[in-house]
Amino acid sequence: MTCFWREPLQRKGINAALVAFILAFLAFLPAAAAGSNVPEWLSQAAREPTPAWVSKDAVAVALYSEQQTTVSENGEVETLYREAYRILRPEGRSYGTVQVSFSNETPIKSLKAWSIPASGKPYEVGEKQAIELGGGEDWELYDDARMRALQIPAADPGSVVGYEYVQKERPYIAQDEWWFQEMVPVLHARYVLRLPSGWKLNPVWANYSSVQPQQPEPNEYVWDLMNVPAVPKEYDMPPLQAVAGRLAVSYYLPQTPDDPEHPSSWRNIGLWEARITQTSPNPSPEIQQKVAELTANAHTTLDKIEALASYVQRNIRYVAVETGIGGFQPHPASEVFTNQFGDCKDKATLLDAMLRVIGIQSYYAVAQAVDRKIVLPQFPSLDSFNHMILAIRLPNDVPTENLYATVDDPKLGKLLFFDPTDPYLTFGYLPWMEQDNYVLLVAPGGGELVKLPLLPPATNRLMRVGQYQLDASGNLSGQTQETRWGQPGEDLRGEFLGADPRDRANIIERFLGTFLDNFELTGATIGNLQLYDEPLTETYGFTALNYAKQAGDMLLVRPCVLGEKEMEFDTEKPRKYPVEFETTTLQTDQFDITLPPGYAPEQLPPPVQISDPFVDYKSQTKVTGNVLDYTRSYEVKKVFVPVSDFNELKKDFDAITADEQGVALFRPANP
Amino acid sequence: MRGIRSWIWVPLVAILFFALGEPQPAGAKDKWLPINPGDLALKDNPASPGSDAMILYRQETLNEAQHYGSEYYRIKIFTQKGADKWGNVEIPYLPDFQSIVQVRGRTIEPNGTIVDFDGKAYDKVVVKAGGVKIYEKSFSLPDVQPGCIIEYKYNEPSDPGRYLRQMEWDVQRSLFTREAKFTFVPLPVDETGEGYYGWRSLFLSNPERPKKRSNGSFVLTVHNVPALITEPYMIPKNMIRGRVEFYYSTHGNETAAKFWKQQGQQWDKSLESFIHKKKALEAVLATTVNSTDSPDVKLQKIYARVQQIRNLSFTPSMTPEEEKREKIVDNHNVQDVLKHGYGTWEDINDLFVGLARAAGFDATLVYVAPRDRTIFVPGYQDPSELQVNIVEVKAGSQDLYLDPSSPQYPFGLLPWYENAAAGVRVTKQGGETINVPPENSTDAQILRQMNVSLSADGALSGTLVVSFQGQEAAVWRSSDSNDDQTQRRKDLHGEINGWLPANAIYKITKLDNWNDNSKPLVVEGTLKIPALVNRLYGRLILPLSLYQSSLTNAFTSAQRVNDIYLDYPFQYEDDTVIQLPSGFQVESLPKVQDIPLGAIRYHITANAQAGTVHITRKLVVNGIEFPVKYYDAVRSVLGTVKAGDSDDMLLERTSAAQGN
Repeated sequence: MTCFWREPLQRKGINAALVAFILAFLAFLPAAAAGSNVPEWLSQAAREPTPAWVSKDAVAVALYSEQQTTVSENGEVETLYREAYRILRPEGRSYGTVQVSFSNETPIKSLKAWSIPASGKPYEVGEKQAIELGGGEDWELYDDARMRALQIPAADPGSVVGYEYVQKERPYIAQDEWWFQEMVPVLHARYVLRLPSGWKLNPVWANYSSVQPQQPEPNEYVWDLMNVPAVPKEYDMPPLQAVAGRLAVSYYLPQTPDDPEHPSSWRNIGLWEARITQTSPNPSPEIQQKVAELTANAHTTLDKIEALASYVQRNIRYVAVETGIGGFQPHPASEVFTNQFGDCKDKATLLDAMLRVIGIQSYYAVAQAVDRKIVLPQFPSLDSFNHMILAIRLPNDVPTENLYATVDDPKLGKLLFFDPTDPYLTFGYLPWMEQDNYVLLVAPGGGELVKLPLLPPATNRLMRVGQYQLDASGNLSGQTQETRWGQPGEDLRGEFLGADPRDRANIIERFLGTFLDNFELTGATIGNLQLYDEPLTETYGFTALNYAKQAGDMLLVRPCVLGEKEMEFDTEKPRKYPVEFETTTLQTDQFDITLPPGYAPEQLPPPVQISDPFVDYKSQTKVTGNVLDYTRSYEVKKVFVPVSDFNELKKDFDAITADEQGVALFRPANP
Repeated sequence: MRGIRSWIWVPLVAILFFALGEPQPAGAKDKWLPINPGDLALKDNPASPGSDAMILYRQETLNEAQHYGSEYYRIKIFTQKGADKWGNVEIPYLPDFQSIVQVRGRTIEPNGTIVDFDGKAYDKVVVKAGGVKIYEKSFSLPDVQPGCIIEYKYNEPSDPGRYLRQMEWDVQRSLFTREAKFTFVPLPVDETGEGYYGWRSLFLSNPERPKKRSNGSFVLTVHNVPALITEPYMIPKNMIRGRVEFYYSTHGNETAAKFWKQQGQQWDKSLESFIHKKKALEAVLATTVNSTDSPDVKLQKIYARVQQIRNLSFTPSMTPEEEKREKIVDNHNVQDVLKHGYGTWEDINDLFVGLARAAGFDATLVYVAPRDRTIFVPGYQDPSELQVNIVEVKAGSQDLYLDPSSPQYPFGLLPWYENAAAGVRVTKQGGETINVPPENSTDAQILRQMNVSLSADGALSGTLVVSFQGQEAAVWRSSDSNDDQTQRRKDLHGEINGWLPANAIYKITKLDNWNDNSKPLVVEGTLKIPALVNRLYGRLILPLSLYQSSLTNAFTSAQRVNDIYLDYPFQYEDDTVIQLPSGFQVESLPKVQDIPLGAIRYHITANAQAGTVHITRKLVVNGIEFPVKYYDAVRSVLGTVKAGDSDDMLLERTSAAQGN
């Protein structure tokens, strides 16, 4: 889905598959000549002992990490990267694999690596021992990014491995970022920024206390950080980029000595994006003709907008081709229309062009399609974004009751944010990762950072109703109907449509298999599967043998027949980061089980009621006549649960799990 | 012999398939086959309803004599997913040896409108390593939507100096194929430098056999080839994928029996040459066994001795620089192995044969096709299918099959992929095809002993000891052989935790016998399960088995296409003792569940005594392949197992306690 993805931590990432791939090709590479010349920075780092505070579970420790960025007067940037790791455990061997992304615009000037084994002489390898791999993402048809990868010899526990490389680039926006926190501890991280004379900088710290730089030269800034802790992995935590420490720097040459606004303001970045996209959305005659055809039967402006949005969303195939500035610049709308394919920018562009035909203005909105909390409002930048959607300016007469993704902009009025890349999205909704997240609105007067709304729980609704009969042998049979709006609908719709149609029954069977031991699916229908703006409905019948268990003369029946609200918790270590839910949601279950004649309730599970700032849960089991009736509602109200509430959240889910497993006891009424 | 030796092609072509999956669709010029209006109107695949797409027609030609190939694909798209998946075309190729040219494509809309592909075809780097380059030509067809037909074709001229030693028609793909035509024109025999070429057809029905034309080319036309379906617990795809393989051979046209006899003689010569160092072997033997040892003990001591050799095949991969530094050189005979103290798996098995023979045993090598990778078809006459070897030793009246080159495997236990595998025994008289006997479920056991106390508030706490035995232990030792204790504990913790309820907290306190492959791998730990037990006023309810099973959860689907295929037979034996809380007694226990006969056997029972409940459970799966016709029966049995496991026991507060 993403189009101009930036992966700041990729350089330091670990990729086991890549390691295996490189090893498979080692036989084709020449061995490096004997002898090595370990640089002093690495020798010095290797002399550092591993301090006691480093966890015994750590697979490696970064002894030294350095980034030296030198900016030239003409805006060209040359950056030297140095890394030194001591491998502590076998799993740390992957730190002996160097991978550097590059493209024609970001060439690698040099690349060298060394290892200092626990015993024996050091090794040195260089570019001749590197392999080149295609870059980009699996879902891209083409990306001019590539990767140079190098396997450092003797990357074994006890060894110190190190590498350095120099990379050149001319960034579109004069900015640099220093990602100094990793998944292993860093003993010493250094960032050096050299600017041309007279240039200024604006540093912004994220997820770490700010530190003042030293200035050995008037335009040289040096930051040193010691003993940076590792980022631990936790269930349902925000992404690494959202929690890892970083220093983001904008640099610029002030136009006047007291110029208050440096060039990389949101406004100016928006202007830059507007400049490179301004000609793309011009509608061709073919587009105009298509718009006329699509809107011929639309009675209202909203109907017309919806028809065009739906067309681009579902008829234009997602195909990403990324070359050079193409990561930021869409193809012309006419080309997208002819090909009937394009990436997110292209889809937004075509929709923009089509809306123009009916007199509706729209604006690009540069978005973050993977994770929240990566965009820093205080650091105007394109690097934290990876996606593009559209902000559709709604005329005043367009009703917005069901358009949950509408934002009132002080200058532009009602803006409906719409993501034409998401094929299953209901019109008026936003994909979960774009909710409660920022977009850069490319407005006529320049860029504007806008926070998109978090959709209310009731918009992401799952309603499950089951009517079942229990026979005297304990077999349960009946039907369940599910109705899903918003994210629950989109998720299941995506699963059904992403599967081979023959496998759709398997999806339902897998779901039932989680709760039923010995069952047969007796029938299933799926409604509105491709009516994306309607709730998805699903009706399925099943027979489950021995659902009710016999215990002496008693019958044990689980009232909560289907469904689980599960979360994983690590109880061994104290929680460090917030818990993140994807969306708010409201989900209800109602199950009626008609009991075999002659049984009377002995005991029923107690009701459960939970209410706290993030989750509400309520359940009740009762017997009316010969029907066992179970109802519950589950509501997630906030997507972030702070660390301080972690224990409360865990307690909530323990209670929910216990409720789902609750058993009702029945005795023969007249023994 | 022309140009580069063909051997380089073999790994590269293998890498192409391995790294990139099946190559996507290909011809040239703008001549297309006529469109059948019926195909445009198709809404679904009548032969396989519910498909995303189907190959209507495909034509593949490889002319080695004239150094070109071509491909032509016509695909009907039924769904959006089909459009998304098949609208993009990616063709891997080796730019130094071949090119992809005259790429043509078009989309025929459901109404018959034709949209030609006039976009750009991109050349993507897949990998460049030293002199090796793999690229991918990629392009996207225009206006692909459900209901349309896409077609494309391209030519693949290749360097006249190269040729393919092995060539394959991948007849069965992940899409249903209505019709496909294949043509292969091999090099003239006298130009290969090797001689005869042949082919074999795998997993295709009888009519689907290549025909040899008078000009020496081979042709095949197939119809209605089903898509290859992926399911859990199925035979590796490569072992059931319909295909025709061509090969060149130095052996000419001879019977399989004769071929393997000759091959066996070659292997025997090679073995004899490697172990022909009598003095060196006797010297080792003198320090390894005693003359008073029984034959069995002697063999075991020899086995243990050769497993002490540093096994280069099972240590982390070395870079060329490390190999150079460590002066790792090839061993030419057993004396080299003993002198260097290292060897490959082949060296180690050869050494074992040498020592066993020196000790008076009748021992030899058996080359086998590992079950996880390949199959052995003797008629194909391809020694490369027999990728590993084991040792056969005649001990009294029985034949022992051993693999000392697998360091995690104790005496008497073969890696699972070598059991029930076909192969060739090496003898002085030549090779003989054999089948290695299958193993039994008792060769792969997991014993679980849980001893827990139940509290009145429904929480369980106590200990869980797991003993992995035989194959189960060896598999763990193999997978984590290059890890440290921390990682091994972490992985085993993950495995054991996966058996337990989601909220269980299991902490490993002890991991025993990792380095002694003759003993079970024993994991001890403490266990806490909060809130598994249902609490009602005055009662506690808990399931009979506290373990989950991935196997019993794997067959929820009522439909199955492929046979069920397991790596090896296995069994679980569980012994659980639950100490009841004070003031509680058993109100009701489920009845015994018993499936006493058949390839899958199951027994679970619970007994109450003196404030405890003792549960014993046994699940035996004694087979590796279950034909799909028995799927319903297997599913039903596993459903019964699951239901038996989840039967509830009921505890009640004693009347005395209720009075409190």
